[in-house]
Amino acid sequence: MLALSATLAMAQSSGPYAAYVFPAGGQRGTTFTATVAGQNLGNPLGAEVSGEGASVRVLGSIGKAGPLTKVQEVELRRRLQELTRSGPGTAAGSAVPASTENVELPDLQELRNLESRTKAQLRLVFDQFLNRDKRPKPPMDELVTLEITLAASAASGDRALRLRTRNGLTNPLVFQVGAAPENREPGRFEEAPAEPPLLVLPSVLNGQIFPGEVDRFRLDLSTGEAVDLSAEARSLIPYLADAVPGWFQAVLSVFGPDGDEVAYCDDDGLDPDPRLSFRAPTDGVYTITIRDSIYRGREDFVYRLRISAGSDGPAAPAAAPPDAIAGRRSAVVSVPFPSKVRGVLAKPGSIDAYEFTAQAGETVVADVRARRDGSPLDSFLRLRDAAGKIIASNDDAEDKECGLLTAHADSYIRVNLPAAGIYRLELLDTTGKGGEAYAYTLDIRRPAPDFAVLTTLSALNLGPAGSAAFSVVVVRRDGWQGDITLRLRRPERGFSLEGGLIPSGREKVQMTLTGRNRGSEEAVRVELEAAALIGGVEVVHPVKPADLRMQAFGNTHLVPAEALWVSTRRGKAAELTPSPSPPLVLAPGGSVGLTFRHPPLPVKSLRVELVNPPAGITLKDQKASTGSLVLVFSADQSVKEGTENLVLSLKGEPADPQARAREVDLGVLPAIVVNIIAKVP
Amino acid sequence: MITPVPNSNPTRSRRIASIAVLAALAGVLLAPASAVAADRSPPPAKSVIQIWMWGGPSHLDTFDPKPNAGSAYTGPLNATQVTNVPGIEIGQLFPRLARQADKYSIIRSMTHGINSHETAAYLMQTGNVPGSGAVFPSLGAIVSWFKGYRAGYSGEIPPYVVLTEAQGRFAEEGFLGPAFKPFVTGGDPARNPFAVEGLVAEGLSDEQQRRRRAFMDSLDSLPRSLAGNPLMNAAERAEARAYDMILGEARKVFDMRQESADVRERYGLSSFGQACLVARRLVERGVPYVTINYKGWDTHKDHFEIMARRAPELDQGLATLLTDLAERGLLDSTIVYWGGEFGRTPRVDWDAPWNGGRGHYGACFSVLLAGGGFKGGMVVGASDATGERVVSRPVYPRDLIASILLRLGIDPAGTIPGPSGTPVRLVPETENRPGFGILTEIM
Repeated sequence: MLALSATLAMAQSSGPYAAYVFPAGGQRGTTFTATVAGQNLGNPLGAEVSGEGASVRVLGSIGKAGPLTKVQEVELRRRLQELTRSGPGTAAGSAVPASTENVELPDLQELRNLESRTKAQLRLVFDQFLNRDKRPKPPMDELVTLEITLAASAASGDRALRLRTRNGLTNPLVFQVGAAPENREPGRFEEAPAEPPLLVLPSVLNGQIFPGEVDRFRLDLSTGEAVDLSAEARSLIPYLADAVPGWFQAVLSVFGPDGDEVAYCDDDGLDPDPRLSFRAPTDGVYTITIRDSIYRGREDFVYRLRISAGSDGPAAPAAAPPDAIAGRRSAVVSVPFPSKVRGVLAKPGSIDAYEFTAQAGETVVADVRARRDGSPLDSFLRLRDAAGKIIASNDDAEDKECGLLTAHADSYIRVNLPAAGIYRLELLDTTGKGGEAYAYTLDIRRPAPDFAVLTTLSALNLGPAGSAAFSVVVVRRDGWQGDITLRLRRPERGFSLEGGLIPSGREKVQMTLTGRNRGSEEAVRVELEAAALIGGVEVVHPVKPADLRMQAFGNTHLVPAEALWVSTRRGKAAELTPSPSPPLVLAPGGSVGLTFRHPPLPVKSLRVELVNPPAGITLKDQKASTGSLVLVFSADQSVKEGTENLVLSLKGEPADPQARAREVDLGVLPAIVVNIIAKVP
Repeated sequence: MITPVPNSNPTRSRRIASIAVLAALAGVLLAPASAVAADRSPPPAKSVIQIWMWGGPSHLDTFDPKPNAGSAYTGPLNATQVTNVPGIEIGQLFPRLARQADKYSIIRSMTHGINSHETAAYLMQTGNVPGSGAVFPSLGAIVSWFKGYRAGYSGEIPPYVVLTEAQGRFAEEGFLGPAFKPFVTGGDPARNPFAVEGLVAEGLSDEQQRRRRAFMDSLDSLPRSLAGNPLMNAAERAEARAYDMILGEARKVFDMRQESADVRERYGLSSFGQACLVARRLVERGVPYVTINYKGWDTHKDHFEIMARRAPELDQGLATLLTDLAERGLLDSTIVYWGGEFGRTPRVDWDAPWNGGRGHYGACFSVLLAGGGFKGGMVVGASDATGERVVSRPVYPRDLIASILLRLGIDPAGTIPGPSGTPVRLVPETENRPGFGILTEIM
């Protein structure tokens, strides 16, 4: 039985999306306003902030049409023309429209005190409100203003903030809670101070960088006074899909009283966010600047700059573990098999070698962890037999669980040994570097079959049909290929999971989650778990919530999320019933029918589409009639035996002839499981 | 030692200097013409008009529509145009080109698998994979080598012309050197006048230009002090050729007023439409290679809005170009090559920030070939039901370039001098078995 909401008007093909929050954090024990920008943010209801001690109230919102009515746009244009004489953006010689004195502009900070603005600021106002080419564009053209209160007892650290709207929950945004006082850079529309703001220690500065912009701040320091600066930019928004580089690459500089640069940082080792410490060489006022490395900028180039009384100079490089073996050029260390070695590639050009004895036919795994643990080592691993012949090697192995890493630099080998004897593993740095920070852990072991499952979406917004489709990605360890079954940890909460089987060998599967009999809008955290039989024993792992994020137009990464959320809809449920009950059965070259029976719906006609159809399976035919929808699926000769999920997207032509949309999206139906067999019995 | 260069005089006007450089390089660097044609029969094609779809056009929304793939692939463009060739359908936004399908063939199985602009553009323009240590010349530069000044071309307009903006993703001339750089017009042919950089200056009469030259000559002591120097002599000749271009007949090719309003309107009054008209005028005067760098097809965002806005101008300009060339008897000798560096993702990305966009897609895409001896009314290769994979007759960039060279009478297995002077093969070897390699099915 399926639920179909009658609120077709709410149907959207794309859920709410949050691009940034500004400021991206606050001081505990305070109440302040923040703005979330995104798209499909209509009807904001509130926000979810992970952890204890944060409460949020929606103060207002601005839709994609902007805050001004047409009449107000005319009035603003008129006022800007008056104030600038020629009028920003006005064609020469065009007449200034007559005053519309009764028209009031909305009480927005950007529109206050226009008379005191510079021409450049008036141009910004024009661009922001009247210039179609310059005003914020999707997905940053809808704004929601929040009032956030952080309790004095709120723990410091990163939180996840999601906006809750009538269309569901947004993706999470990093929101930082701290103890230091917070400041904001002067807004673009505010009167520019004669000099950059003077800061006190400690404090956190919040800002946004626009194209070509360099934000400046001042600090009054005494000779010898130490200051630590730490910028958060990439850590707030890890990936920008439509920018290269694929994040805000912040650069910090400090200039002394005489204008000379005394400190500079564009990244902190492997972390793109800059951190620096410096000691004032002389008394005076120092200027701190922050900008993008190539002077890009946009609304979502949000930063937080922590300024505090400093330690003494830059942080020491990561120390090697106390029991690590310092590598020596050409030295060979004998280790038992299996064993786990912690070492340091101590010098540039070093090769750390480990010999072990193993049996013929034995499978050996050699797994390096270095970059994933913050080491600069870019490992390369090779395995030689007793004769010195290289029988396996590896440079990089991607670990999908490390979605914040863009360079997967750790090495991994799994190999069946051809003969009994002594084998040598050699570990080196691909760039020939080395040093005391080049620490690593080398695990030489027999295969340890295991797995991890990650979602590609952490907010499942149930559509009008009561379901949401999502995909999971499987990390199969040491060659294990078995079936995995996903299930809800607490199914009694009224949700069901359809298509939860991840067949042997598969790395990605699409499935659905359905909320039955839920009549109200609510956001619910759900937990999924994944179970598999490994060596005859059931192994269960929690499914890890994550969001698939694109970087720089092409690369995608799974960014860990704090939780998996389900957002339900308001509306009376209808029922759709599939017949025959799934699973369906299909054979290569065959076809199978499926009929949905449904009560009267507020649409004139129904149509379904297969979402990400499995290879070789097509929706061959469909016929909608009163109260039923008959579908025919067919399989070509290429389909393989096994289990597939069919996710169906339901669309309808509005019954209301006045409706603007020619077709409304009714969301997805619960996944239909299909068993592919070799041939029909 | 200071080596004088033709445009070293800072008082010389920019347009004189730019033309002088072109002419100087063409003259100074002339090498003896080499034996060219692999095919002894007269080559059927004399010129190429390359419509470079800068950014990579969607193959699904142009020449490889998949109306049955579902809205996840088609977006709102879920219909097709039936063409004048039975069995061939193209995208719904191209009604004029649908009526010209007998004039062109569609390759629906282009592939190289590269999704970055720079690498894919280099591959599609040169047929070579980057990384060899040498920058290979583009197809236009190769044609310029074999059909330009060193091969007896004597036109005042350089043999390799780009309308209107250089691509900039790589140096088109490659290791052949600056003599084989394209002449980039700048300006906008849809404006009156078409202000071709270095040739047509608004508000400057010919007499003013002559007086300006005489004045600059009076100030320029370098030629007098280096009288008899061969390089300076070449520079002087180049300058004279530049002035010939500016003040002579050559610039008239860019004077769009010489075309009737009716003809201009047939092409469409867009920049692209008028560029097609200029391209026709150029090949009419014997220019061997003309590239129209047609920007704006990198449609990550607002894809369908851009298609709705730009497809009509593409449809009108290209369809009229084909008709006009055919009516003037030029299509048989002019190859029209339409395509970009790759296609676009068949699956529409509706998520933020794309909101209905298509990304880069090099695994499977389409190009179009017409004229110059290429058969029309045919489809080469096929993609799968969603346009994501090539399912038959893969065509690689080297196959395409080699085929075009063959139609021009240039042996793709021939050589040109490499960076160190040693001969370098024009195009990597193509596969020589049925269903692969040279596009024999449309030749």
